[in-house]
Amino acid sequence: MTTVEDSPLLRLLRDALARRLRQDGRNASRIDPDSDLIELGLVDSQGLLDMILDAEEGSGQMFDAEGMDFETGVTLRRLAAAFGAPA
Amino acid sequence: MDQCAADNGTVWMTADGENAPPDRGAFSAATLGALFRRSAQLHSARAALWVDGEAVTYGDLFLLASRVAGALVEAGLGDGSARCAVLGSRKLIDFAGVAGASMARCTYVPLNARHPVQRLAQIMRDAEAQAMVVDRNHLAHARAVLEETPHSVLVLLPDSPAAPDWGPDTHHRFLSRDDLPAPCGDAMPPGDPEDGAYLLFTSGSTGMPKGVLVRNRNVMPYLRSVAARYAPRPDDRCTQLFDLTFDLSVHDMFVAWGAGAALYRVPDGARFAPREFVRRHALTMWFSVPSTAATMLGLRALRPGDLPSLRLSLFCGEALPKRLARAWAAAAPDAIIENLYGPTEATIALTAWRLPRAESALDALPEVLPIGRPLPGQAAIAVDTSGQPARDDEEGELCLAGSQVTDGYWRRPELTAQRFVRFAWDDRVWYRTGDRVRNSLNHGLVFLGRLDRQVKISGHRVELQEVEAVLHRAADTNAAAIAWPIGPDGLARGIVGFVGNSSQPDDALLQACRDALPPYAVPSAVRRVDDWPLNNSGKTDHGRLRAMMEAATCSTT
Repeated sequence: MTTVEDSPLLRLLRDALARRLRQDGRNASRIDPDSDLIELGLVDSQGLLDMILDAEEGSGQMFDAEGMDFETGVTLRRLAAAFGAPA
Repeated sequence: MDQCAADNGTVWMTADGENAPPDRGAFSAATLGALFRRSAQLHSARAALWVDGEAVTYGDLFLLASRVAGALVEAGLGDGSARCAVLGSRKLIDFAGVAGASMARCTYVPLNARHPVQRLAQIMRDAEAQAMVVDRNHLAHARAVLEETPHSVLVLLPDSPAAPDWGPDTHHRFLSRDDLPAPCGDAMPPGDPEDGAYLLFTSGSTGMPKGVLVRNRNVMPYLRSVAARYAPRPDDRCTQLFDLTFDLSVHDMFVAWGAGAALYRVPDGARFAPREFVRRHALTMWFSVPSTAATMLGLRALRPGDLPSLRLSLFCGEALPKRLARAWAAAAPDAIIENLYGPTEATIALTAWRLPRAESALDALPEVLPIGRPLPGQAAIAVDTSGQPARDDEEGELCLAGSQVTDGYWRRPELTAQRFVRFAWDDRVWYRTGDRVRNSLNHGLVFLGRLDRQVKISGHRVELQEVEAVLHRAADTNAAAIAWPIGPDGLARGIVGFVGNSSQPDDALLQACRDALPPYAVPSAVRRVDDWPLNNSGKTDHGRLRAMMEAATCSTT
């Protein structure tokens, strides 16, 4: 069974974030799946949308905003867990 | 609403007092401080604020704010001429700092803890703020700012048990929680409409942020207009999405507090897509930039019927695309939806336009929705390049007059003289907004774009010259410029830096931007251009840079 930890979705999201950070001139070598991307200032709303769209395109699955509790923090793990139905 | 013909154009004016309520409780106060104090007396047991999972009553917020106010007054800062910075990120202490400074007749100067120290210290120096309120989470940030502040500052720490151990090594004075005087809000000075209410710093085209002092005589007419137009009630629950450095936060706080309503601080993570937050708390009044709705739509968190509790939805800060407004109308079927418009210089918002609900009426509207007509006591007109009122349905620069228009820029008389002008055909002072509009007899004013190089990023004003000044210094070349990609909804999607021949690596250039600019003004990337495009005057050809960005023909390193 594939866990969220090693899921392709987590990798897709991590890669999408890394691409954005590299473009921004920032080091993307260690992005913890449980780091709050907002608190660390790693993405803004547009960046978040772009990451999610990249992951949808790469995975063929749709992000379900209802499956994500934005209030308690936006992490790669939580984002990955909110993908569900086929796109 | 009057339409006065001035030559062939139309001056939209609304008479003072039109729609004015006979008495709207705290909104009839003369100052923000008096408004809050009156509401606290009227609604002591009601929730004033919901922050970090807890409700804070008017009574409790008043006690906290009055201790801040008491310390300011005791320090001799309560004569209406002093300024008090509030450093934080929308925490309880920040709201209490705003209320306390207002009650003490201090002009509050919001400082965003997410902005670079260099910028905050610059604002502290420009504002000559004599005091600063800091919550305990931002002490380290405060230290860095205070180290760069040459004048002595009274630092109030309402939730810190003791002054920081580095305090005695500075030339500043610190008062911790136990040092603050006992609540004495009832004995506060009454305040004067001439007192400064807040001093905000916005992006400046010369590379330095520029300040706008908004007095109580500017902001109270706005609040009274809003109270009359939307009739906020004690049982309303209002969104709080804006940073305190954004003047729309003044609306958030004082519309809610004037009505005795509850202000719900949306947690940072949920600010992207507050659908669940609005639903869980059954919020009734929404206020955001259109970009928030665009993000929700992009995340599929804005579906028909999603927001049934809203009775009012206001948008301001950037152009409102019709497509977004339609989606919002479907999501919030019981809400009145309005598009507000106004620069900081004219106090929060000066015009308003209501979205029609009938589909046929929506169809007839332009793709970017109108900004409507002025609030009571205010005036707006499109002026052509010769300084005359533009003919109806012709383009012109939007100029604003009335009680909400401020006196000018903080200690910048030359800039003030450029933007706050008199015309031969009218004896009032008009603020030239730099916004290009068309005066439509059907819809009122319709926003068309900018006359200069200002761009809105999620509602934040960014003067591109300010970003370019940072890039020029960092890259050590004048061949540096900014362009901004536009998303499918017509809203700006961040900014991109272009640099010609420079030996500085991209990460050094971007770090220089991060050190000097607020996060929304930092380019998302730097692109190298080997053959720097110049126009016939030998200046940077921004049109060609934009074309390069759109065609992605330049090399990225």
